[in-house]
Amino acid sequence: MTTSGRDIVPYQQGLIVPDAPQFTWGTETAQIAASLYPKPRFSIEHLASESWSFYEATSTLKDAYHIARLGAPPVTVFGTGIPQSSVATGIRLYSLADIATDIQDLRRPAIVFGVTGSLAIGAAAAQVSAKPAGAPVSNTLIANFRSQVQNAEANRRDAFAVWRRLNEVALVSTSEDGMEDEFTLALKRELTRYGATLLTVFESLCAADKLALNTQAEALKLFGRIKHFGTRSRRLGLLTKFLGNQQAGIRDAAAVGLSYMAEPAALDSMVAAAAVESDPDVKEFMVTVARELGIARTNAASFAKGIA
Amino acid sequence: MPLLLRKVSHSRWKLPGDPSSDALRCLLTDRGDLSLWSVLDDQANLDDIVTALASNCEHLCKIDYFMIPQDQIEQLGIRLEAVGGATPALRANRWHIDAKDLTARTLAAIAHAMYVSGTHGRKSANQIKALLANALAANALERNSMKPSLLAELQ
Repeated sequence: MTTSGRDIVPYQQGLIVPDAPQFTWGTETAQIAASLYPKPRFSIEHLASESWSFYEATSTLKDAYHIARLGAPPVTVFGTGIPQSSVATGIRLYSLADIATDIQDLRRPAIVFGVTGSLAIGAAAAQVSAKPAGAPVSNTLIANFRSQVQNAEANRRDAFAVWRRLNEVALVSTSEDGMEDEFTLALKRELTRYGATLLTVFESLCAADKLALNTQAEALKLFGRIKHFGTRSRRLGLLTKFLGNQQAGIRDAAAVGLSYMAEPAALDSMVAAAAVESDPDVKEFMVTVARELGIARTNAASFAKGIA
Repeated sequence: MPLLLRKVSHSRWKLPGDPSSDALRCLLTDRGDLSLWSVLDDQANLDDIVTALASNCEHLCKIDYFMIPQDQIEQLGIRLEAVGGATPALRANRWHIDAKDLTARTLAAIAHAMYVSGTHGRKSANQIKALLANALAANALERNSMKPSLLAELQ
């Protein structure tokens, strides 16, 4: 039996998902998968990759679906991850503990493999469990999963197209601080529409040098300014990451974005970035923002103490 | 000698290119005129001017600017004309100046002068918020002329 040109190893009996507090990236996930899947002919190397893209995550989940489908018996596929992944993929989320409990309760043979993504949507895992041959087939969940994966892939393709358009819009926008223009209005609209997927694609395009630097800078500032709760932690992570960009103008824009976001949790990252910043102007601003974030953190702690 | 101030976005001036041609986006002209502000020698009116620029915005933001000695602009053969500003900061509007009849060459010369010998400044969004709040409290801003979206952020 093969799928995507790879051999499928028969399911192992009695495999239980380690009830770890969380999956970590790459290697550990691969080790977990290897322990569950002793003959790692299916995508173990893939799982070990340190640089997951959303597409890869989606593909692996899709592979889970293929295993289920080719395995013939009725199957159940679960995904797990932090809440943002539901925004990106529409995949229903379960905690790892839930899955472990479920497997133990059902006493089903199972294959579980984690999927992690550089997009920081967190770990996702798929469980494929089989019922005895001959049992009634119910493909509702699989059909739903397939639909979700297809939607996620379509979203990602659309998000690429959206960024191409945004890049063109940015070329002719005034992009003046404090003023909305065609670019900022369009980016707000698309971020609301595509959520974390738009941010993931942004990161991919920046890494591939496919977005104009000015577009990147203006987008980073807006990522800090926009009020969109569903992507807040993802935007925070993205801005923090771009503090280490090789271009001073991009690092500056990320610092500006974080100053707009005013999230005390960014304090440590800002202090660390300021410590190694080579551009004196950018460094000075990072120190200013760090000071402001420090005050915000102190105020938040005082407020919490007051409530307690 | 007074300084001339121009609102810019510093991220853009720090992109590769020494500086990048994208920096010219910060110097958009209106029929050949470039909007500038005159800062006193002792910079006593600097906060007033920054507040005026911020009060004209649609939302709260940091304000970046370059300042350059006025004589450096005049040495480029550029004509300066005091033209009242159009911001809600009525008392600060008198510091507004237009650089007149610019050509692509003279505009590029201004950009070069700013980049090479200009003084860079930035007020964070928090600092701007404080400046605007103080100006509102002191009735230095015409509230009705400010954008509702900005006023909402100052509540």
